[in-house]
Amino acid sequence: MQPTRTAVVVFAFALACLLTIVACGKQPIEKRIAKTHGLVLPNSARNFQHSTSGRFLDRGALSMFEISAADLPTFVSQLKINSRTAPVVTAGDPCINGWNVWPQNSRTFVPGNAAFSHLRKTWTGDAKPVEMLSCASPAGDWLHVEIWTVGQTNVIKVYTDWN
Amino acid sequence: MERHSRHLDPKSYAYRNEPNLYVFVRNNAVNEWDYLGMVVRGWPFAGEAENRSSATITIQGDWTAGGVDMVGTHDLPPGATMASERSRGATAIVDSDFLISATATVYNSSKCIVIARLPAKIGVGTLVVRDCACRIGGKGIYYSGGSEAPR
Repeated sequence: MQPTRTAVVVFAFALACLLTIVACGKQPIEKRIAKTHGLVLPNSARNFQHSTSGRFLDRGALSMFEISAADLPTFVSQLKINSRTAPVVTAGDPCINGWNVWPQNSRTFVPGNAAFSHLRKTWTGDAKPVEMLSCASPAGDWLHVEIWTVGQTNVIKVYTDWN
Repeated sequence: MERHSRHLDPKSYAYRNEPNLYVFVRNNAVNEWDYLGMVVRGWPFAGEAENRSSATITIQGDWTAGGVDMVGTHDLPPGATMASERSRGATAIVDSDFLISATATVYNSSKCIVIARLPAKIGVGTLVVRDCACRIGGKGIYYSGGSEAPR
């Protein structure tokens, strides 16, 4: 009887672990993005893209999404901004990482690693860089936020780094 | 020490002008070691940076100077290695987090196939920067090692 009971307990534990993994895997991407970066996303947020790289205490997470221009002030108000940086050019592509349109040797950045090269254009028209915000991160060591504009929509690019 | 026929003194360069004999492992002899007398190693956060290329590179990350942990950017001139750096009593990079800039084009591999976009996250581990010759003219540098080095 004892081996049977043990087997049942082990099976139940394995099943619980499996269900937990499945449940976590089915978490909506917007919730994963909000949790990863420690941010509240506005209801107008849409067209989410998200990827992570690295392990444990040395990793990074990159997300990009669109929000309505009317929600931008509320979104920015939750950030603990350390510095604001203007772009060095008036046009560019948010899908490109690295220094891109921002000054070299900026305080924060999105690494140019291949792991973050998944970004795709989800809007029509040309995006214009507005501002880059270097922030204290509520979830990691530092937070990098890029704000781009496409008509009445803002494209938000967020990178959190753990070191 | 003599009783056990073991000479446990750290390397001479490590405590030059330094009263703390364990500065060579950043005062943490339990978690870090220096078995070749070249590089401070500790699991899982320590690494080393070596620039065996013809370019000057700038690295950002945690580093140690005179036994004091610091964070910031650091230039590694051509040919600079941990050993030479330390022999000058200068800097030991223990976790080179990002490759910020380089005075030569950076490629993802020794075959110069893809240009790596900087800054690049390197992560924990050994970073080695070397020269590479492209198949179709030109040359540059590439880097390998580290948990985040591009493949």
